[in-house]
Amino acid sequence: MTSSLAASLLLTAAILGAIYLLMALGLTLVYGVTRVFNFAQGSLYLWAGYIAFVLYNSFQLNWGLVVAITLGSMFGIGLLFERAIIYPLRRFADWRWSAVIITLGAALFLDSLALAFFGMSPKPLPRIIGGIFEYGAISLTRHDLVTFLTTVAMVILFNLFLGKARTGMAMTAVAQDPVGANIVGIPINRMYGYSFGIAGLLAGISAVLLTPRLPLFPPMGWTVFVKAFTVLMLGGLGSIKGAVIAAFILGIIEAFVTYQLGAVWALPVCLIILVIVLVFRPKGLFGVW
Amino acid sequence: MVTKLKLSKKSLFFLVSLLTLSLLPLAIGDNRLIMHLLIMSFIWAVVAASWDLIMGYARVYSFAQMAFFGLGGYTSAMLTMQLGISPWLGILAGGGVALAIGLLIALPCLRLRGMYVGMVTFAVHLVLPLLARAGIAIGTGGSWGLVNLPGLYVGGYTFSSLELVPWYYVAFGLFVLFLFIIYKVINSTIGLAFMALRDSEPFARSLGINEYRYTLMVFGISAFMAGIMGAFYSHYIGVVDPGIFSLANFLFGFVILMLGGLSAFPGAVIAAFPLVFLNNALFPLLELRLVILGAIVVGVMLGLPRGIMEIPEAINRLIRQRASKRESG
Repeated sequence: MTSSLAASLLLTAAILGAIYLLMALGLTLVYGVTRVFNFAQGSLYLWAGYIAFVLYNSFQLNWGLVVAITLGSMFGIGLLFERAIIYPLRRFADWRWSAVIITLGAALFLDSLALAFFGMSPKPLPRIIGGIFEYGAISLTRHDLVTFLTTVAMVILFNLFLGKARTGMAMTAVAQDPVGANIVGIPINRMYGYSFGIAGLLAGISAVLLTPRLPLFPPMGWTVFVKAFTVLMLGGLGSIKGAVIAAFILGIIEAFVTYQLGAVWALPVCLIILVIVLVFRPKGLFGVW
Repeated sequence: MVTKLKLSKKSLFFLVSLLTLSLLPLAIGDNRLIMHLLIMSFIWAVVAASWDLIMGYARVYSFAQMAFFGLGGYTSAMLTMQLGISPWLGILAGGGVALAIGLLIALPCLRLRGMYVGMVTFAVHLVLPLLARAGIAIGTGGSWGLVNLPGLYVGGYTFSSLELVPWYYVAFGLFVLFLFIIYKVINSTIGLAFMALRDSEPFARSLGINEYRYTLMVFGISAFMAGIMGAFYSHYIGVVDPGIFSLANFLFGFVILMLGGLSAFPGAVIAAFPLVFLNNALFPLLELRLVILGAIVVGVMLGLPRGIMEIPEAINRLIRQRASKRESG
């Protein structure tokens, strides 16, 4: 393996890992605040992609507007999702378990709806910006560069939001101790809604960044979800640091396994590694919960 | 000494339904659609009831049940087609492999907590279709799967897809046998142990109940049953392909389990029949079928979180509410 090939594999790994990381952050936020594992995160990704596609192709809007409207509506869809199916469940005693199941049902519902509307044919989205970025031996598309930088920015923003912003701190408080948070007057219901809203937003960003690279069709939601889920489990639930490290470990494994054995083996190898890691570290590499 | 001859309403209901099901082919044996749907109902009922055993009673959030189902199917298909062994042995081997893999998964899994178990078992479910597609070298048939699986035979008679009555009776036999075992497990020391663990874990532990051992046993039993049913199913339809691990299949089993209700035996068994028939009626709607199944899961969770066995209670509650409203109003 030449060094330039290795470098380009590493770059691909970093970029793919970055996008799965965004999805994983959405999952970890929802799990942290509500303790619900949201199986519909991949479906949110799917629908974000289709919303952007419709806005771009049918309404012929320019890219900036498409991205803005997609992200805005994804936040709204996230809020609505929580309000429609998670909130009414919470009057039952065993609701967290029911909630996991209901998100599975909702995922099936949303995916099949997408299939009924858009069919199996892949839908394209254009790159955010065209052209190639070159620096010495490294060359990658400008779109990939934007993807990578956006992800880094999002992770930093996400950390700042949870640590410094009032709403973010309130969400952290709910994640740590819901009863205590309630006593000091944090509106828990609203925090539940926001966590799903932000998860929708992150799914939207991932969809806009990833769809120009990977075709958008109904099974795609699960493909992306599984990657995000592997990142999250390997890194450990509730740890952003763990997710970042896991995303790049898995990105590298994926890139090299694809190169050596072919693309079909990438996911099995990742999942087997995940199971082995969980045997020795039952909470993932850096898990909190 | 008076022998208790009086049957409770419940057991009477079961005796009558079993008798009806066992005599049904005499009346409608030549209606192949209904026979087929009943066979499918038997298969799904066992899958869902054994799933309930591990998820509802043992409280292990295992998402691998359909993985065991598919493993059973693939094992039997590969053994019968490559080694030419009898399909009966193949089905038994399917159950055995599902049992072995189930224990292999359970050993690490039972050290994990709550949602992590669900995640790992779900990962197992997700990785199997990929392995089935990629494993052409070991004879999984790749994306196309394996076709023309040998039918079962008794003496010189080979079961065919033209005559469903023999298939019906084998499925019915497995159905009765496995439901009886599940019933026995629930009403045995194991079932009692789980009940104790659920009600008060520290107290149950102080009495020396070994949770790990019982959970492992139940995990094995339910994996074995799913494996046998998966193998039987594959021989019955004559094909096994990666679609056996599809999300639609997974969710259909799940819908049955949820509508039946967790730890509400025989809820899942009763739910299997109408859902298999409904599923069939929805086939002409193509993609909308899955939209509706998804909506059913969401609707059931919101309206009847403890499944159909709760319906009589829910109706009673409603009547009482009405009555008290009338009194106060």
